[in-house]
Amino acid sequence: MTTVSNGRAGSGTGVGLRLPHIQEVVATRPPARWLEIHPENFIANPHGAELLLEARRHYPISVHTVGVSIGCAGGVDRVHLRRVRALVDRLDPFLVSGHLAWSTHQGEYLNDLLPLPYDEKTLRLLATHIDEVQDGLGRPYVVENPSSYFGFGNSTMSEVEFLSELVARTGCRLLCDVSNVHISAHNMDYDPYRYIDGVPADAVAEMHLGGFTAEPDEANPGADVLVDTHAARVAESVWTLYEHAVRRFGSTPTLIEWDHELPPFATLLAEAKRADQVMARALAADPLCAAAV
Amino acid sequence: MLSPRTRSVPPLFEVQRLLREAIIEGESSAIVPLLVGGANPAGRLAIHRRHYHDSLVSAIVEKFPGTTWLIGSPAMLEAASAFVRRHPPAAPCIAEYGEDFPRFLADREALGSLAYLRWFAELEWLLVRAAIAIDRQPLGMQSLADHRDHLADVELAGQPGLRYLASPWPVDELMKLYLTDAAPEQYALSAADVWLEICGARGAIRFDRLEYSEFLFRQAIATGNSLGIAAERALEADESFDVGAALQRFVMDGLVTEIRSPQGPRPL
Repeated sequence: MTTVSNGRAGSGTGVGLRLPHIQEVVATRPPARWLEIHPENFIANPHGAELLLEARRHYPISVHTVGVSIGCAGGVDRVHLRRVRALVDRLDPFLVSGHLAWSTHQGEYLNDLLPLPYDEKTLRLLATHIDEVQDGLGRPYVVENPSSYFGFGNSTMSEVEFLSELVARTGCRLLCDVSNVHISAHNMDYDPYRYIDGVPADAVAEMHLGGFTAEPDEANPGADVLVDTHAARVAESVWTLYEHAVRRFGSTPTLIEWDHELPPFATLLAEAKRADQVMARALAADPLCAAAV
Repeated sequence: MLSPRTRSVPPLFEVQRLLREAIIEGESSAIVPLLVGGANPAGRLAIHRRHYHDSLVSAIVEKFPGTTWLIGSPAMLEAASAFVRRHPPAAPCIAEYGEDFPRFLADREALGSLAYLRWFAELEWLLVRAAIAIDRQPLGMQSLADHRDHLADVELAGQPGLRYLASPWPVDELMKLYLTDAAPEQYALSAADVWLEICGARGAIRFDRLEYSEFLFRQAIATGNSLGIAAERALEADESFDVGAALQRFVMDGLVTEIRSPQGPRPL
């Protein structure tokens, strides 16, 4: 497996580049530190891909797949993987990431990131699939923790234990979506700080921050379920958790994700600036991190 | 975090089949006993069901604004909702999702009175696809001259944004009304065959009517047939068809981007 990328590495906080912003980004080159894209938005859109290649000349790029279904029991969609590889080869991103989830079943794509039971059988299957994806892409794959609304009664390990084992077995790296940790911890009733503390810090290659929406939890009057909508600013409780994550993981490229009810690009840049400030504060407060920086 | 249960658990493939059933078809009785989370995991399952439905309905509606203009939002939402349940995407690139929607519309009983609807939606789909294409440097007639000894065997690659549609209704007239926001109070559409060439790149689109024989000629070329076969098809429809002049028009319209010849260009 080739592991070398010549792509410029992103540092600090980048923003998700979505199609409605791409003309503006190419024309005005706003001061984003790096950009993250979903390959599925560009693979079948030649004009979009052309603009993306132009943006690539000015910004480091990270590729974040939503359709490489590593958790699919029926196997990885090799046709899609080849299409992602073709785009990755053209972009030479500094990271390629995807989700601890499944999205396809017998040739149908469910357009969502669906949960998995965390047990030994699933672990073996995913390790095989991650090996296949890393071979197919010719580079390490970075796996993101999901946002969860429910789990499976037959799970025999925690999500953090499952991810840690995947790292140990495949050499993959981790994308810690801090908002997802907050969402899942709230919905599944566990401590988000203990989750962050359990993540193998050396494996974390990127962090995500995104907005969520609170909805009434039907069966539990007065309680909310948090839905990972990527349609709002990052919540205050997530900023606090992010500061803790920075202290634990050190200086790590971080992304502001916003996919729905997309605001002006300047709003994304303002969120990214705040993330940079939080990161700087967290690193300055920790003598070890400050020394490393 | 999650406590193991002693319940017999189906293999992952079966679990995913049951989740797929719950999300697309709304049948969740078999999967719910396997779930934990909150006071009511079944209620949480609805989050995924709603996301599947709403995100794909929105993707369809965004691709067919003209069709929505024609039938109204309630009918469009109802049709798109039925479509995403019956025809889930086959691949993760949602830009490619919806090609079958025009045919699906034609089978909707509630829309049966609009016989031209399928063809209007087909034209709209082709325009959407053409708009996101990019064009390539076109070739001139001189490029073809190099192959004149074996022209019948030559295949031509057209511009990536080139599409053809044969419609039994003049839906191009209707599309022009939509695109120019010039709909009259009342408008009667009469059945009449039209043969349309659609071309686009980088957000710009055009569509033009062709004569039947010219349509057959150009469509045959664009679908990868040799010039000989394209000429045969046109001549079957019109024995007076001037192949040389038609080829020249096709090239001069800037639609040819590559020549594929089994024998290569004639040596200088």
